[in-house]
Amino acid sequence: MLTAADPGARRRVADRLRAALLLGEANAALRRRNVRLTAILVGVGVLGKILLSGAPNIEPILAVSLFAGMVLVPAYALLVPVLAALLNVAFASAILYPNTYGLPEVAALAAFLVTGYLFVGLAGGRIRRRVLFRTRTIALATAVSVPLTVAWDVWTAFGNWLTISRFAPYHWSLEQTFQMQVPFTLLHLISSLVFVPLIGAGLGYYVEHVLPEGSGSPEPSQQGLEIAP
Amino acid sequence: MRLSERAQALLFVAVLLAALAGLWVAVKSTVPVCGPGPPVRATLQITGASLSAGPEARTTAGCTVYDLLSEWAEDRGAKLVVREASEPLGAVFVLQIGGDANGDGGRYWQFWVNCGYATAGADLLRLHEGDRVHWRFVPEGWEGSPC
Repeated sequence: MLTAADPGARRRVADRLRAALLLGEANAALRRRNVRLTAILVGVGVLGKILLSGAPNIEPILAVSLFAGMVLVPAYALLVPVLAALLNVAFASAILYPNTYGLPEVAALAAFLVTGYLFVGLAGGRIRRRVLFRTRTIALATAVSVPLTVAWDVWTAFGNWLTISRFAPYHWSLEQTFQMQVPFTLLHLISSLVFVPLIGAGLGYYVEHVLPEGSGSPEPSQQGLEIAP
Repeated sequence: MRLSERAQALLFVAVLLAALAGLWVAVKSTVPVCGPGPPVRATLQITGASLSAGPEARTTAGCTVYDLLSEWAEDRGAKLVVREASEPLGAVFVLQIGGDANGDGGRYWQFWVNCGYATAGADLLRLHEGDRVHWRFVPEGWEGSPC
């Protein structure tokens, strides 16, 4: 635990944070690329979800979380699912379903959504590829998104049961909750099979053909993806 | 043999389209389809803030909880406002019955079948002979029972 009497440790933590967030002049180009891509991914995730709010379980946040893990340095990769999920929860609570659930239920459900998307981002980090704008990479990301979508749905359905649906007036069992989840998971799989290739192709093109020129990096990437060191 | 990038892309799109078609059919298979058959008899009771109806034994030409409600609304000239989700599920979400709209006074339309809270949307729940359907206009998390 840090205390005011331990300035050395505080400085070390601050240095680590600065390094993680790529602060400092030495990392300026890499930081600009990460910040720009973080903003784009969060924007696509939140706006896409808002525009598709009438379509249950059709959402781009899982796809942007996956690609955040694939293209960003860890600190920025974590920001994408957290920001996108929290902004989406705020929008849903304030606009779509106002006064429907209490703050404790919303907070607990948000915790399951955020941790689910964080797991997806973590999985994205495990399949990081040097070249993004290539069929094999996008096909790999699409294939990986299938079990991740199922796992995310199982996790969040469990969260829904734990925080909401086992109580009145629902009184659903966990088994019932999972049974009811089936058509929605099928829809979510459709969503992932549409959004992962679409966002992957768009992001890949942007990273490899647009971003290098306008990012202030010393020289445009010849290899393709060089967002993370 | 190594496929060209274009051939890989075409193969990927073909596999993707086949998977999407399969999933679309799988979702559609979860939606009840009312085929030709004997009409279903069920009891309908509606308790709102400004309206109360039933319990009333009714026969529906349809096959879902929503068919029972929409035929009742049509017979009585009662206002029924719904929001339909997009395809392929196309689930119906009831927003208003009569003069009571979701959110009024912090209350929402919810329904029970045979005293159990609904486990799917009204148009996704198939009715069975003798079912008892209760629609109540109550706050979210209401702990009472319609039975």
